[in-house]
Amino acid sequence: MKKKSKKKLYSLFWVITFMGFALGLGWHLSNRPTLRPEAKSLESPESGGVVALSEEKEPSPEENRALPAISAEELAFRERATEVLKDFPRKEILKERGRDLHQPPKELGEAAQELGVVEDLLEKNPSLLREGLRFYRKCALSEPLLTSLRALCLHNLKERAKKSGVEKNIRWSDFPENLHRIADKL
Amino acid sequence: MKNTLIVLMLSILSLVGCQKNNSRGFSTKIGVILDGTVPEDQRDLIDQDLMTLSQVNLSNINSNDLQVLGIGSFSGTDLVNWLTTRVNFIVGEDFDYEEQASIVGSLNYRPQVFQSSFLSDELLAANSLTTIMINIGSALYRYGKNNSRILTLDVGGQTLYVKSPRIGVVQIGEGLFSTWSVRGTSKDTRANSLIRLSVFFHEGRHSDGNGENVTFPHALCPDWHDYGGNYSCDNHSNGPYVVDSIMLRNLQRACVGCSNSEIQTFKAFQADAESRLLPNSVYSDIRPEQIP
Repeated sequence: MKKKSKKKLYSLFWVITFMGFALGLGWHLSNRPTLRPEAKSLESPESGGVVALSEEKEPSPEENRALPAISAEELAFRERATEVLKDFPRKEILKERGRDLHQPPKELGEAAQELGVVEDLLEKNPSLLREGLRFYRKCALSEPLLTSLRALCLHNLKERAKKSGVEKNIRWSDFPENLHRIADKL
Repeated sequence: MKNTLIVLMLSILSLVGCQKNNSRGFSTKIGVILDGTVPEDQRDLIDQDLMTLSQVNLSNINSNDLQVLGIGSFSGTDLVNWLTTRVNFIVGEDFDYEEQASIVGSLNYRPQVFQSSFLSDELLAANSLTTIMINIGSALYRYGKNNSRILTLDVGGQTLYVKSPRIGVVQIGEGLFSTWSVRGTSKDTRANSLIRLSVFFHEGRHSDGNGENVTFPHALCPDWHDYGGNYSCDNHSNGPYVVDSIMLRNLQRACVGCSNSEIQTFKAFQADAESRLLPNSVYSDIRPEQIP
């Protein structure tokens, strides 16, 4: 009798464990995101949509890891790009005392070096194009950044989009005219 | 022994008392004179830069670029000719313009040692920081013009009369080799050499102009501008920052085999220069004025 009830208890334990696992899996699958919106618009230009690269809220690193729609390389790029954008020089540095404002600030040179690294990555790994365009767009639209830097980002966005044949998918009117003027001179 | 000591002491005293710069300077391969105040390491780099310029040969240049510079081609010969018309002497950071400049009275022509500050507050402020490059010659000319004085300047073992903005004396400092370069690279790379050359051309434009636009002074940046409230903009569509931009864009093409970081630095500096051009800028006469 004792042996029988012990067996029953074991069976009950395994049934509950299995049901819990099944429920958990079902919840996970139902909440799993499909393709991100910008990926859709980039991959199907005929849909008439423009590339929506930065309107959404920036995901946290935890959220990034939970998104299976992007590759590990894209994820690494996105995380690096977020850090780079955070460190890019802002206009307010030009108000600091003791600066020689006849010459570009040294921070612009440092940012240029970072952009060089971004260009290296995009050249080596074409699958990063979507993330690259997204990064350049965010940079060019970020008003607190130095105008020269924003213009360079817009220039790089134009060059990359042109090379990849996706220039028609980008809403160029989002960028100020003065930025276009500078970017087109580079 | 006693006589030798006396001679030695007199020599030292004469050297201490001698405030004028009598060193003959170093002539670069393209004929620009480097004053004795330019440190040896900077002298070698500048000589290399100017040699690099003489070897540039680019085709398919935008006609507007050629028009702004007033040259027929983007060849070493034309570019060297442009530069040596406007920059003849290069002095180092230690060059003391107050010691080396004199006012020559217009009536009796009796030279007097120059004492007062003649460079604008803007230039002095820049000079007190890390000097990159300043066109001292054109600043002296403006001072003389505004104060009805004729000045002389002792440089490279010569006494120059400052009778035109094209006296062509520029001062360089360590900033030219540190701030104005690609981060994390050595000073003697081709990219850094070409980037430095663009600064010479910027300063070269300050040797031009007449009337109100003599020396092509920078304009006040409006409040909405990144550099708002500072005289760091241009309202001449052929002014120094436009010249800078033209040089950076074209010299970048001469940077064969350069890395992406180097190319992005060219473009970033060019974007900075372009951002300083104010709306409604006008094309101005570059012909230099001259005191007869």
